[in-house]
Amino acid sequence: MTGRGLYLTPRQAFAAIAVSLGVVLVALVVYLLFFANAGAGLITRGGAAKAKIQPLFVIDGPGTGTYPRFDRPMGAAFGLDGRIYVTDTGHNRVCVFSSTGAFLFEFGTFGVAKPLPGAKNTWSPGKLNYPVGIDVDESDNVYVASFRNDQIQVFTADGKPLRAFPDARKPTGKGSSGQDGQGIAVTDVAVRSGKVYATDTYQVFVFDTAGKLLQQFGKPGLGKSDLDHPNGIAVDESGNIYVSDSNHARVTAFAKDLSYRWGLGSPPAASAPATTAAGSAVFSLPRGIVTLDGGDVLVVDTFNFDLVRLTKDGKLVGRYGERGVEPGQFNFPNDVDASGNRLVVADKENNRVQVVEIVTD
Amino acid sequence: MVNRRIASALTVLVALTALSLIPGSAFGYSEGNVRTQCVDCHGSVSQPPSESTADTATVTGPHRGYSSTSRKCQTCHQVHVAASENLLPAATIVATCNVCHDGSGGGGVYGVLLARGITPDPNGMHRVETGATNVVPGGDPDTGLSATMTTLRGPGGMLTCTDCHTPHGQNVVAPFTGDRKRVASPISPNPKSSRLLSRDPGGTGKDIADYGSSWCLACHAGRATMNTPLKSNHPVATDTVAVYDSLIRMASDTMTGTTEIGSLGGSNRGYLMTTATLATLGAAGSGPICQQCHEDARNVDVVGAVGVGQLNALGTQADPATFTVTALDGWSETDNPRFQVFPHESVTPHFLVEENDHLCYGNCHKI
Repeated sequence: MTGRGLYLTPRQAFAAIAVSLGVVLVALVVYLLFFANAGAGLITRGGAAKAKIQPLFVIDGPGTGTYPRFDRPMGAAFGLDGRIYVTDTGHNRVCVFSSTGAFLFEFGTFGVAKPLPGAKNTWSPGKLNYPVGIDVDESDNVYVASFRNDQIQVFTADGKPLRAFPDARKPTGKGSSGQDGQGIAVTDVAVRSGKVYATDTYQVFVFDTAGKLLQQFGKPGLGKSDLDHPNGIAVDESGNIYVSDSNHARVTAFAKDLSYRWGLGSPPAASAPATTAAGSAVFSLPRGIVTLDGGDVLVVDTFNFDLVRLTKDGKLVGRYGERGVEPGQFNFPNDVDASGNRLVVADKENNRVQVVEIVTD
Repeated sequence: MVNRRIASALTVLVALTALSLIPGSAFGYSEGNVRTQCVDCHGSVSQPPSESTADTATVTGPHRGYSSTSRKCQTCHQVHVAASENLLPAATIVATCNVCHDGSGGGGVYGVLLARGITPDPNGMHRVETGATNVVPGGDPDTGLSATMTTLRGPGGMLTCTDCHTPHGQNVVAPFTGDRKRVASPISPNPKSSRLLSRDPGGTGKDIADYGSSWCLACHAGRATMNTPLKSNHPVATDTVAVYDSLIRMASDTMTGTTEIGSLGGSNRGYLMTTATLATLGAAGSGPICQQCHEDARNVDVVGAVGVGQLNALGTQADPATFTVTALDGWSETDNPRFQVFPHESVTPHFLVEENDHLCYGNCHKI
């Protein structure tokens, strides 16, 4: 073969190989450091965008301890420093990860606050019973919906128990869905400007952060502001309240004064063909909900396996995500929180949480 | 030439190194927006019987209404890369059901007692999948002894949710009034519902129209041997005499000797066998239905009340004030039963409505 080409002396060739190997070595060191920084944890990085969801990383569990993997995590929230708090519902605990997904620590064990006659009260501060929703306040305290103990538990950012409310053994306000009508059957919490908003089976309770009941609203029924098993609540900076009215397959917005603002979606008809197809009905089973920077609202639609973005006035903006097991896909997602452009999604039936971004055109 | 080969090799090496740094994905198929109309092949599933009230949307949830214009199949089924058999998205049938039936979307089914510090009686559970069995007490129709069932639908041939329930809402028993009050309905005690109970429980090939003794006997066949020479079981009513939604019971929530035909569910009227009730049953040549002894644990008579241990003039002893289920599961401390989780788990052995001798002498038999 003749012609011009790249000709190297043996020494040059060996030098080139050495340089290349050096580059590879540096790359490997960087790669390892990346994961070394992540620490313990079951993490998968990145992946291709799917259905307008760009996966950043996936966390399958702490990767250590008695339960290295999650068991159907139903809630997720960002802390002020970008930490990720996950309610590992099946294991009755909260797992905490760094902003890059490194496992930091966990808190909470199983405890029964409302035993039946003959059973033992095993609750003490910090113990949980089917933790579901979770949120972090402006002081970085963590609020956990301890569903089957009918109470909200408050922890410091480092997992030290601060208080629990309402009293799970006393009626709350004008009545609630807690066991024996005491406490609240709380599925989700949202904390904003010194107030704690909590969803009960057919209503919403508002407390101050110390646990004093301030307001309650909502009731069973098919009226426009009635509720049926709401599983998500969020509050914007103006005090508007957004509720995922889950079993009514709609999202309802209330003003700061608790007056009805708007609703999107409608209860499923009994005899008409079910309209769960995207495009023919907005929601199938809205659950977790969060307000985004700029005022839009993002809702997890568990039965449509996606995220639904609305304006603060209730106009549909777009849908993101699809069903699946790959990074960026969801399987019965249950909750979402936002920190800037980053979203954390409790991907319940994939037994993981995902940190993702929405891909906009 | 040699140098070009070296350069090529270097290029390949760098490329492979770069590729190795990109995390891979295990699956390549995107399930997302599959537009396949399942009914094109699977047909439009027949609708369950009318559920009798305006609350049907809440009662039946997504388990009905499949048509050429709906896309409900994908709610519970995944066409490709499904996690388990039957194209279910979760790992097992139980896990799929628990997406909603963990209590957050309605009344809880399993785990309700444990959440209140009570370990269910080990002989008071219909375990599904994990820890389940296929050895059915009274499963042998000839001897009444336990027998292994080979038709159960769970993993490994064990019992699972779909052995009793048909989640598609087809081929279900006639709607009946049950104890469960799991919707905030103004209707008292509760709208009628089939509970999505299959007409073919256990996959034995039977076709049982109503929820009653025959429904239980589909699996526990040996419990129906009262008329054999052995007479080894307590007599139970056949479906032609009584079913859950239509049996002889007291006519009101206050103690009375008057009887009526009504549902066993929603009150304790059907559990208290008054003299008149027993006389009527005797005339019919029948016993009670299975569920009159095996249901949610309930305190039909009141320990410590005057007359305990003695039948009253009506043939029983009871506190009429605790008859009716008034609220959702576990909401009211005075409700009877306290929890409505039959036949999933119970605080009493064998799902007996009451334990010990109270079951016999408190409700039916004079000593």
